[in-house]
Amino acid sequence: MAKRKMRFIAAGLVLAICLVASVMLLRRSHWAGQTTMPLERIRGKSNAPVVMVEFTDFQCPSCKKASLLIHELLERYPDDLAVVFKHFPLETIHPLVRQAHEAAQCAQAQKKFWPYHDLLFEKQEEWPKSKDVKAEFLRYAGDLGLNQEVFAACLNDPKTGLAISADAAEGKLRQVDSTPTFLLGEFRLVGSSQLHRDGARLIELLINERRRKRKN
Amino acid sequence: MKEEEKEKTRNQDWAALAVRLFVSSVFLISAYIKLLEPAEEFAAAIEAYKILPSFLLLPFAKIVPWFELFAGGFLLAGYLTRLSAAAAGILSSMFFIALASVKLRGIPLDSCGCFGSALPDDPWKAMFLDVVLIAASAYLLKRKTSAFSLDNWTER
Repeated sequence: MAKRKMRFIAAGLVLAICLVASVMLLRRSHWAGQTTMPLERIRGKSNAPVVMVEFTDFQCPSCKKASLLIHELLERYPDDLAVVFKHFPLETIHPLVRQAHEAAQCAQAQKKFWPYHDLLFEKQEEWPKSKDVKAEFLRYAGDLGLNQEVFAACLNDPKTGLAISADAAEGKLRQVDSTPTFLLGEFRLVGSSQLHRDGARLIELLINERRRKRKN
Repeated sequence: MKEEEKEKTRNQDWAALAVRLFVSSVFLISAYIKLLEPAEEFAAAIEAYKILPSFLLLPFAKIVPWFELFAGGFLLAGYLTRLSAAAAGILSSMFFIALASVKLRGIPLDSCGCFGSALPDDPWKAMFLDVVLIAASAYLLKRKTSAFSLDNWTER
């Protein structure tokens, strides 16, 4: 009887340890690098103590909502927060979105990334329905006063997509699966609701932490 | 026991093993996918159901996959089989009720989040799978033994 009980407990313990250990072993993060911070894609002060990296898809409605929240956060923490934009087009569900990200890259080449970014979100319901999306993006470039010839050449340049692929690869390594995803130090927020609910609280937490460290 | 009855019990034990492997594999796949991705992803999926208050989303997203892991792992090994089957049945019923309530309230859901974000699954398919899992768990709960189980070894 006692032997049976011992066997029962030992089997349960070994099984439980194996299950927990398997998760711990597989859970290791693959990300060991430093995020790239292209100056043209940073909002806020680039030397701000708190940096939020956002992985975004121009066709995702939640990303549009989040972009408005980011504006509010930047207004609230003008000296302490910087937001880095990272391309993360979800091409399986949004077949046209990569072209939108390429267009934003081309606007970046003419120092107009943010106005173009805002316009893409503003017209989010329009351009995915367009029959000629490239012509639509070219028209947006014209509206913002960009050189359309240079913009068109940039859209046709295969190198334009490299930065997008690099951002998406970084996102994958950092376990980004959906958009928008925000990385704030060791914290992560997925979706505009999480940003709305916890964004300000986490930013303040990180600002206070940095201040404490500076004092010490 | 007659030879015929013994043969019947043996066949039923093999059938129970097959059911155990099916239920455990679904639970283990679901658990590992969720446990290996950040809990915030599953929390965002649960949020779309509009059932839980926001302060419970992250704790729920962190805890539930562990229940799935233990239910799946214990069923795979045949350890505390009936208790694990009961847990699997309760979890499947819970997921079914959540999905049904979403459908009844007309909330659009692209993916149920059942297998994390790695395997987006249609809510109707997920509800069908939940029904199959509930039936399979009830079968295991009813059966006292199954082939290749730790329960048999510890009872010896």
